[in-house]
Formats: sequence, C-alpha cells, structure tokens
Amino acid sequence: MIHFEGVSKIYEKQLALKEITLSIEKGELVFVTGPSGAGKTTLLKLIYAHERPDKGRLVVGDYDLSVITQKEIPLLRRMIGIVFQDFRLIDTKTVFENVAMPLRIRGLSDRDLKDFVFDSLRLVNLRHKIEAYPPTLSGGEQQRVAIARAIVAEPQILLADEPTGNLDPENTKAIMDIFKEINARGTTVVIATHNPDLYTHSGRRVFKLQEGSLTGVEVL
Amino acid sequence: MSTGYSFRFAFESLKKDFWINVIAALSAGVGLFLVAILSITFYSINSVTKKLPEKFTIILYLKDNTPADEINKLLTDLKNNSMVKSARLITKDSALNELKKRLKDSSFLVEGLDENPLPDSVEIRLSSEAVEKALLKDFIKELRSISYVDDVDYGEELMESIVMIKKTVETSGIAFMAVILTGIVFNFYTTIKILFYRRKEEIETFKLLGASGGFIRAPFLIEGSAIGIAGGLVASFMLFGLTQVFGLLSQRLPFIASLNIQPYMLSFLIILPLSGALLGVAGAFLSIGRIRY
Repeated sequence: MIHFEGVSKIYEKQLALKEITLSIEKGELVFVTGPSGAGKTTLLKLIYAHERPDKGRLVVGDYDLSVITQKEIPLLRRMIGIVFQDFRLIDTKTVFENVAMPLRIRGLSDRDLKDFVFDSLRLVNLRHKIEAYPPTLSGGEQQRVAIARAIVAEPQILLADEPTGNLDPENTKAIMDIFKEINARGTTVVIATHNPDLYTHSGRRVFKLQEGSLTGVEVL
Repeated sequence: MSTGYSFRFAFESLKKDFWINVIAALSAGVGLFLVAILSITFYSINSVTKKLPEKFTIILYLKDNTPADEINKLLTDLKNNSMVKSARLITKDSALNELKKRLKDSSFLVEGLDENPLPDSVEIRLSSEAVEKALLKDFIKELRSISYVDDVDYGEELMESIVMIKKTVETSGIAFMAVILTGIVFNFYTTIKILFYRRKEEIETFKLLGASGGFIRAPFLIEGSAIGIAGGLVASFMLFGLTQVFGLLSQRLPFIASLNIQPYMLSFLIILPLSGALLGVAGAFLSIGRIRY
C-alpha cells in the first residue's frame, strides 16, 4: 500500500529524512516512532503529498508520488484520512460541518452525508456535540473531532500524527480502540507517536526513526 | 462538487466580510455607471451623425449643352444608387427663377443679363449609409469623372470635421471605457484576493482533505459574481434616476426627445448587472489563479 524506496527529504540543506526504505501492507496498523525532530511528521507529509521526496521513489496505492500531477493530488488525498498534530479544525464551523467536510469535498449532498457524519461522531463518542464549535471543546474532544473527520469518508489509509498527544490515559486508550476498530474494517493505519505506551505490547510493527534515518523495525 | 455548499460558503463569506463587499460593489457600480454613460453618449452621437448625410446636398453642375438623354440616364443611375436618397434636375431656367426669388428686391442684378449664365444642375440627397467618409469620397470621385459634369459641390470640409470629431470622441471614449473596465476587474481581483487570504487556513485544510481546484474556486467565483451583480444593480439604479431626468428634459427640449435614447438607456438596466456578474467572475478567476498543492 505504501512503499518507500531510498526516499530522502531535504529542508534548506538539512536532511529531514535519509534514504528511507520501508513498506506498509494493505490492512496493516503500524507505528512510526522516534524523538521530536526524528522525521515522523515529514514521513507522513510525504505520504499525503504535502511534501515531495527529493530523492528515491514513493508509491502510495496506485500513485507514484515522484511523478504525481497536481490534478492527481486531490484524488490521492481522498483515499487518505489524516489526523493532524494540530487538528486543523475550522473554528468557524460546527463539529458537524468539520466532520462533514471530506464528504462535501467528495460531492455528497446534505441529505446523503448526514448518516456518515453521525456514525463517525458516534464512534468517537461526540454525537452530542454536533452543534458545538471547536474552540468550545477540550483538547481531547478536538482530537476526537479530528479523528471523526479523518475516518468519515472511510479512507483506505489513515494517518495519525501524535493522535494522543493531548489526552489522558483513559482517552488515549479510547482513541487507540477506535484506530484498532478502523483497522479491523480493512483500513491501513499509520500512527506517528513518541509515546511508547501506544505501541508497547501492541503486537504491531514499529518503525524507529532517529535524526531522519530508519534505525530499526520491530514488532512490539 | 456540492453546488449548494459552494453557494452557502460564498454567502457566508459575503455576510462575514460585509463592508469589504459593499465597498467593492459600490466602486464597481460607479465604474459600470460611467461605462453606461459613455456608451449612451456614443449612441447619441451616432444617432445625430447617422442622419447627417441626409442634411448634406451634393450639387452636380452640368456642362452646357449636355444632351437630355444623358441627363435622364444620369438621373436614373443616381436613383438606382443605394447611397442616393433623391436626385432632382434643376434646369438653368428654374435655377435662375430660384435665384431671382432669393434676391427679392435685388433681382434687378440679374434682370439685365442677355442670357442665363447658370448651368443645369442635379441636386443629390444622400441616404444615411453614406456617412462613411471613404464611401462618400469614392462617390464624389465617381461623379467628377463623368464627362459632362463640370463641377461638384458639397460640404466636404464640414463633413470631414464632423466625422473626425466623431472618431476622436469614439476612440478616446473606447480607451476610457477600457481603462474603467480594467479598473473594475482589478477591483474584483483585489477584493477576492483579500477574501481568499482571510480564509487561507481554511483553504489549506480543504486542500489537505482532498478538495479539487473547482471546489476551492467555486465559492469565490460565486462571490465575485454576486458582488458584480450588486455593483451592476447600483449602476442600474443610478441610470434609472438619469432616465427619469431625461424623461423630464425631453418634455421641454425637443432635441433630447429627438435622440430617442430612453429605450437604449433602459436596456442597460439589465445589461449592467449581467456585465457586473461577468466582470466579477473574471476578476475572481484571475485573483485565485491556479490552485497549487
């Protein structure tokens, strides 16, 4: 599903990722870990074509990101759900509208998207907050809205960048349960985190990054 | 793409940045009003000058002893010419009588003449289409080349001056209109640019969620056209006021009534909002440019 072949990314002469080679299979749930600045976010950004590889080959689904056209990028992104580190919720829109956005982008009408939005919000236990605006929610609630938005269109790939960074252990477990459930439905899930509690004893593959290099892959 | 959503997004933005949009619509309205006024001015000049050739008379002075059948042939040819409205033979006798009538008390000046010194002549009135300077010149040249035509007399200089003034007014007016229209498009361009930048974060998020260029552009194009229509309506409202003033003036000044420009002015009440919409869309389109991911 996702194949990195010797991918490097350079930011202003600084190597952010160094010749990464890894493969993530369809339906897998994997973790990408490492300290701050290790390149976790850059790796995710490359997958959703927010950044382009400076070297190497990156294939996501049917798209070769080294040669992807501007017109293909929206299509690539529609097969990916993203939970951003900073959530990227739109403050002037209600929770409902935020979650509905990926469906509107796909051209669904108000009537057709309602059920998907409600299901998604129910999954993250925020059905009662549909009329609220993001600034009125707690960090954990905003995180869950971001997750609901990422999964609402049933993407083939779900990327989550530090998805439990603002959560207490109880909420962290709840979020991880959601990711597992989404993965069980067949979605490939990639979680970038520096929190070892998430992947220890998970039985999943963990890609370890250190200063832009892949230092190891383990099943923990 | 969800059209309903694009409209909702656009109207939310119109409401949110209400004053920016009002100012943009008013400026566009004033610009469109000026364009309408210029266009109406051209129309008026055209209506006045269109009938100008009818007022001009060409006199062909014929040589003495031109055979009657040649004169008849000339008259027939002239009457068959599309540029000619009418052609009338003035015999030398009737010309002399006419002269005597005009001279009235001084008619003694021609009383003592042994023979009539005036030539036979043909009076030609042109139809409206002959206003084209080049066509008219060719026609005069053609008349001069006729062997039994002694001279041709027409208000060449006056005619040329009027045509030149008309062309100058038209050229400078069109240039001025182009400047105003460019200004209006630029007005839309900057307004939409401001609105676009105000929602930059939101748009970035849309892009990351997979929004196409069309999805991102549509609300701004709708917004541009809505501001354009509003501007057009402002211009229409101002123009409607002007038609009322013209209506009142027409009752007192027959010249204004003869221009018959009110129907033309009224047609602008529809044209202006439509042009506003078109210019608004053009400005918005240029403003957003290519959506890059």
